[in-house]
Amino acid sequence: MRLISQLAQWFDARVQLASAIRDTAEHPVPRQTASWFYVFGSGALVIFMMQVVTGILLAFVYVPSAGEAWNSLQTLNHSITLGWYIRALHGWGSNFMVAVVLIHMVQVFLFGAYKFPRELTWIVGVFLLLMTLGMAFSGQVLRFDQDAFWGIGIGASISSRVPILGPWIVHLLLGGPIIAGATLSRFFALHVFAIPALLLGLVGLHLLMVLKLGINEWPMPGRIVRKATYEEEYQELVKKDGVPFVPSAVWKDIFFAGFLLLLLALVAAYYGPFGPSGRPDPTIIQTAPRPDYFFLWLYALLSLLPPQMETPALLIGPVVAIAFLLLLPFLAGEGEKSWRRRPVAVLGIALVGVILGTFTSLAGHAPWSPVMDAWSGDPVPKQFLENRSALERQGVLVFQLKQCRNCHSLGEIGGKRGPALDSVAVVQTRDQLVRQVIQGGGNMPAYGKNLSPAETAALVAFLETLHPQGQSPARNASRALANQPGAASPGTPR
Amino acid sequence: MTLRENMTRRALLVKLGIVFNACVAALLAIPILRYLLSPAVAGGKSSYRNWLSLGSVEQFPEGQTRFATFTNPDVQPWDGKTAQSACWVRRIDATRLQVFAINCAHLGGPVRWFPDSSFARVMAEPTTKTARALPVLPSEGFSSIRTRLKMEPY
Repeated sequence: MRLISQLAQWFDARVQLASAIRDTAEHPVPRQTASWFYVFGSGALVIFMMQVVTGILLAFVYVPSAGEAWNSLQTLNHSITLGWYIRALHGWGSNFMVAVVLIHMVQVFLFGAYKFPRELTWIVGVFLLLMTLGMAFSGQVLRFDQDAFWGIGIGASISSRVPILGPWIVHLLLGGPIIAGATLSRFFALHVFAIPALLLGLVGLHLLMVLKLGINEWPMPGRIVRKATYEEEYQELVKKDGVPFVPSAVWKDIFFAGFLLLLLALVAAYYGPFGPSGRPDPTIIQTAPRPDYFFLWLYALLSLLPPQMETPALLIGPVVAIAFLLLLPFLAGEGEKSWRRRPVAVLGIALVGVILGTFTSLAGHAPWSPVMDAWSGDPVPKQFLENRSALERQGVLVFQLKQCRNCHSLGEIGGKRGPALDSVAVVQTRDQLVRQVIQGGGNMPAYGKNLSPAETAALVAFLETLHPQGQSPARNASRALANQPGAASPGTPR
Repeated sequence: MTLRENMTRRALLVKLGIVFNACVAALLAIPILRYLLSPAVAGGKSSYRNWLSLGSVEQFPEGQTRFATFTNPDVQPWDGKTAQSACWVRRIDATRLQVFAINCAHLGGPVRWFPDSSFARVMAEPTTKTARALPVLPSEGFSSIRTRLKMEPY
């Protein structure tokens, strides 16, 4: 111990940082900020450091070349001792990072910590969030499998919609007009060098401001923020009811950091690494690419938006959202901090959470996407074959062979892009069924050219049998009237 | 020379030094920016406008849509499988062909064509309207066909 102490003194006589570190560690913070709600910022920092360490370890083996990246990942997964585990730590770490950063942001927002004088801390935080998402996206590109290949193509497609600059942005993003070796190289440079350097700088600035301006005090209802008086009130609070950051507040950060790392270690060990999935071969198109979980909501949104709304949503939505976040401290820089007195803030968070959660959940099973092997893999349930005439059974064959099952389910088996057809005869008359099949409509293509009259007749005959037992199929009342004896034909003057 | 005159002269030298470094930085910025922005003008690269062979016309029967692959016009040794690309070729009749890019017009996802159902499936929309057309150039007396990349494939 004496030797360690002497070594420490030798270093500090030359580096002369011990005093500054001690002052920083023991700086007073309001007592109530020694709370579990305040641990997410440090949690995000710890996960970030874990990502840097595991990233460096992966870079010992990973080859950032379009021709070899996939092979190097297979080597990591199967040939390097615990390579799969380091990949799993890094991949799951990315998911944890996004989640913890978002939770931290929500906590800061609900505690009003973006208000005076911490406006710049919040603004830097918004940029940190954007860069975290940038790291997450570029990290998935580096996996360079089917998902990554088509995913970057979709990113390029979205970028191409920017007016005037679109094509240039695509070429800069991809390193040319197409996805090739140059694309992976530049994403590697962005993911490993450019964005982390920016992150380190901005995290340093963010932490410096937290230290200089003090931890945001616990938001009490009725404690109003006013620019003229806030700083004096804060200093008085710290003087009257302050505790040293180390050890009074930091022990919770330490425990939470340990808990996060343990959780990450367990999740990585249990679930293993992400992919890589299929080879990034542009000639392999039997694929259903998906982004990682934090962009699934966008995948669902773009799949469900009407085409004419896509470009405005893609170009205007993010700009408005980011502008709102950056301007928030100036729009609501004073006033109440407590969420109990800010119902709009709480409802806003709840609404955003529900929207993102719903879209993410939808993207999980993608009901808008046809099940392309339903026609060959899912037999028609037995109950739809019993008590059918020969023509109706012929209609079943047409229904199966023309791949209607891919979009329409029967007995809950099949695609969900179109409505389930178990009771279609109740909602559409015979004429309506014929029109729908031949002319299509909505998302359904027209099948008129692909079905002979006989096939159409058989198919519609089958569809007319699809109604619940005891319930009659829909009938065209005017047809019944028109077919009565003595009824005038259309156009005949009465 | 008085202390005040020395301070003024040194202050001037500092300013001159800053200006000098600013000029050097501007000089260095030119090639750096050109390097960074060079892909944005890659469209000007003549090789991207080359016609790419899709092979003999006989492999595309009339009235059918077939999958075809071609090699990208500007290939690097480390491109691996990404040196290849794909398209759909529809032979309308004896003398007319259409070529569709593999990236859908919606968001660039892969287009899959199913002859039995006569629609293309992409990630979101199975519709014949989602594939982008590429230029077609029949050649060698219509025995083979060529196509060309669009500069904005996405």
